[in-house]
Amino acid sequence: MFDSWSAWTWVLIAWFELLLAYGGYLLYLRWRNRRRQNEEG
Amino acid sequence: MSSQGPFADLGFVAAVARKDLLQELRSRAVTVATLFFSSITLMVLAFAVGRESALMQQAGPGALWVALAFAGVISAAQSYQSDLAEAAYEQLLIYPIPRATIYLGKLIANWLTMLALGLVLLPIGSVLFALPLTPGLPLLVATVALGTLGFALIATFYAALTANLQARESLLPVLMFPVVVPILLAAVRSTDAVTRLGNAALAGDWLQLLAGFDLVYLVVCTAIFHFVVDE
Amino acid sequence: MNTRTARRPLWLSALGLATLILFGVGAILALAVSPPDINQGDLIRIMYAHVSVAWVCFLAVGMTALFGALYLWRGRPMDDVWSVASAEAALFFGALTIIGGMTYSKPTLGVFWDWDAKLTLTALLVTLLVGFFIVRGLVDDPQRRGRVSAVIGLVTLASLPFNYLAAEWFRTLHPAKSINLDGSGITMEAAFLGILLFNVAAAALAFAYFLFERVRLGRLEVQAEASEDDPPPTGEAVHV
Repeated sequence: MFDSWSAWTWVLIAWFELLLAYGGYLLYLRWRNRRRQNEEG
Repeated sequence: MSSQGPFADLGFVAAVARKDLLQELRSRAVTVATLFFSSITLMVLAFAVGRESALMQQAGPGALWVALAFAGVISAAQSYQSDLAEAAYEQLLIYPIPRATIYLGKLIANWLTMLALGLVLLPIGSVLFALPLTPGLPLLVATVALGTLGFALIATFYAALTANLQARESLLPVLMFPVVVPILLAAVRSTDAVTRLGNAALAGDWLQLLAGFDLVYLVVCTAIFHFVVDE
Repeated sequence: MNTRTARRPLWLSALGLATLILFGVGAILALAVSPPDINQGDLIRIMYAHVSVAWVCFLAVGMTALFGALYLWRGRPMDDVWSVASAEAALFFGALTIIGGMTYSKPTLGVFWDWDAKLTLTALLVTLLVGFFIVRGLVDDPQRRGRVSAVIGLVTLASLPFNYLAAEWFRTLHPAKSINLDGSGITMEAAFLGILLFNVAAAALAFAYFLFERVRLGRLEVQAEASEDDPPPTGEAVHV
């Protein structure tokens, strides 16, 4: 299955991983902030 | 800390080690159970590997050390558990002795237990996996001694850390196995070099590494142990 | 009550913006400007994303241990907050390193997992960090939690060189002959190296932004916990 993927497919996957992870961490930080605000009332 | 200098501390170390070893000897049921557990692990691994003699010889050293590692985790956790159960641990911590002496005492007890276990497992593994023991027996004993010392160093340290936590049974291996990987690797390779390959020089190189690991972790763990137990 | 302190300071937002710009420029450099490699072709573009993240992961581990040591030394709650924030970043970048490494390994070497020494080291590191957070979740007393996790952080750092050697020697018969501490031993052309360093800077900036933001939130959490424990000053409404 993977053998047919071109080099650029892999390159884009690798960079997309980075983008996804950074965005995910930002969302996590936001969630953490919200949770604290909710607890403070 | 103590008025009589370092020799008094050595006395404390010996006292803690003696207490733990006596406890171990008295609760023979635990020791026997641990021994049988590791023998069973060896047999299960032998079954898993298969019946091809070359393959079994190759897998033998690894199987031996995996069995020892599991048994070591159990016995290290046990050494704190029996203390905790009888509230002896709190009393031990009340004594005005350096925390490092408690660590070193328990370390010695755990090491000797594991060493004995290793020396019993060695012939069993040799029979099951068709590994020749006799040619390099002194090197093999040195490997078991240094390898179990490395295990005991980390296991004693982390067992103190997890002693009063939930889920400690699964937590201890999670914490200690990634740290112990270099010791496991060197011990397995040295055992392999002695038994299967019959290469004493190669075993010597791995043994030096093992000694280096042990020395560094001995210093690090002794230095920061008091942070682990202080309330 | 905390509305003033809860707002993100301007410099932090600026740092976030700078991170975004640097990340974008780094991506353009890697994807469009960098020439293809003689051996790997366009796959070299994965290297910029993967290696930069890996370097930052180890930086974060160092900071975890550093702030852990500071906490053991002077016991300030903020040192623990810094240490945990670094550990979280280390876990994040470590996991990203493993995933990126597998993405790099499959097209270049044909398999996802090659027991490459640095990836094996990162995998061990990630399990150590997972242990760090499991233990933190099990200890309730904040002081003991800080001390115990600082100890784990220190042991994690101490184990890195040994685990690296073990990972290097895992595939070799003899321990001493294959050690190569400066990395792969392959010299990199200046064009590639410059772009790699730029991407390392971008990843480091992302780490800095995550770290500062996480520390800011951690400080607010510590303050909230402290105000929960102490009775509120008279005349102020008690909100639960």
